[in-house]
Amino acid sequence: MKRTVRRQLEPGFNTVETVVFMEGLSSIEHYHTRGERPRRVLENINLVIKRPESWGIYGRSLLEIKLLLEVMANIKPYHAGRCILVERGMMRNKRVILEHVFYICGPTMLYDNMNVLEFLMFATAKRGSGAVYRQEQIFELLLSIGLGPISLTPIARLTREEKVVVTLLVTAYSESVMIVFNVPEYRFNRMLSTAIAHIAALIKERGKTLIMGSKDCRLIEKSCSHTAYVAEGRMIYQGTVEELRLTYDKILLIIEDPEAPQIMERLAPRLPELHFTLKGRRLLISEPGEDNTDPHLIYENIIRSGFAPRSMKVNPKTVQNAYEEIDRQYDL
Amino acid sequence: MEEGPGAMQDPKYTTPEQIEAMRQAIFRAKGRRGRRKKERSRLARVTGRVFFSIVIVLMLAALVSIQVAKSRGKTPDLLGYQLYMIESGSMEPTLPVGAVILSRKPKDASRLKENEIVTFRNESGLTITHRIIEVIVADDGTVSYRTKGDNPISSPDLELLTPDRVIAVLLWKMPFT
Repeated sequence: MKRTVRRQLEPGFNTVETVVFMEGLSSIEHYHTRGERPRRVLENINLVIKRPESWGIYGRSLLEIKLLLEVMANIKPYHAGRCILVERGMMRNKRVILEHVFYICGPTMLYDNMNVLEFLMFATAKRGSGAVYRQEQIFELLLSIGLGPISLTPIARLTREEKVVVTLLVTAYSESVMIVFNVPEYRFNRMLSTAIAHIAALIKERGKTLIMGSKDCRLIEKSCSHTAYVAEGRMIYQGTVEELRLTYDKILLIIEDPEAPQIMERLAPRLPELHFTLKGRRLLISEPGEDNTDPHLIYENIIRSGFAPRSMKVNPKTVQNAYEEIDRQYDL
Repeated sequence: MEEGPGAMQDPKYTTPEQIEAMRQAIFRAKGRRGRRKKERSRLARVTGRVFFSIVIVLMLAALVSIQVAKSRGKTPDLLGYQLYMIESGSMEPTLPVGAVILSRKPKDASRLKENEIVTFRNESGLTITHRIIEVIVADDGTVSYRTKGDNPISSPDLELLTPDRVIAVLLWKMPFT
């Protein structure tokens, strides 16, 4: 589908490069555990998000992800540090969502008496272009991003996940520079996560920044250019998804076979520089160092050991594996 | 959430038939809109051409009229309307120096009223714009006017204005002049 891309930012924001600047930020909220000293939910957070990027804020705790995004959206005050949004700065105790921030935290932003296409027409009415052409453009967009099955469905009948995805699509047409998608507790099916990936690309194309909280590594991999990992109140990783996958996902090969434990027993002494992990019928072979072992060498060793595994594939390097490796490194 | 092919069989989901029907509806609406737009643009084109022709004719008429009047030593006049520029301060503050005024030739110069601003030729042949401050009717019924500039330092004109020397009556002062 041919899409006309127009930059729709407010005139003052066209030159903005840094969308979020957090320095030494600590939350007011604490964890209270019996017998232990109270610990801040967020402690010494440093984060720089630029425009146009799409960020996936990952974490083990929903509370930490949600709180970080709430502080970013200026809903929650913070205890210490600095937080500057869209190079405009913000007051520490002002709990107001700023004009240039589009914040999504639930499914209640839509009108139940309309269908999806009608609502999108309503939300984009300000654009003023011919209604019929706009309707065609939006309808074709819905189909192209895989939302055809809900395109004419009444909003009242949508699930909460479907509703927030429709809301996210509205943000692509908004004038907000920074979009905060704070629903890490939601689980998106394949149709919706594909749609989110398309919408994230559209948002980036229009010069805006998307920041979404998620515990879904696949969603982050599909939709985000950057990611950050919050664990135990601290930011333990921030950077591009590509860099994360290549740096932390050490798994070279994935072997699937009912005899995976036996293969592991035979291979381990032959390839001492490699690390073997058994997950049910799957054997994960990883390389802790930077040696870049040739997968073909491992394959030859397996064959020489007298095994012919049912399935063997070179690991495509995933966010999930990378975050699991970070968990191991930080003993989380 | 439910996933897989069964999920799309839920009656809440939009079917391919509904999608196709919507596409057809949009296509038809585009066609209607396109036709309306074409008709509107044709009408706009014709109206524009007529308007443009009228403007051109009026401009040519004005040009011819100005040239003819100039060659005869008269004031340029189009359909009885004349433009004058104020050159002295006698009518300040009503008409400052440099103001442009639109005047019209009166139908009956002997029926002008007090307070009207008139452009006339004085006995020396100069063109003057002053206000009528008094209408004087003689015993034999002949009318003449006493005129005066609005400037407080001016005194009433010495000579009375007779209707035959009235050129035009002020209609409108052009703003910002």
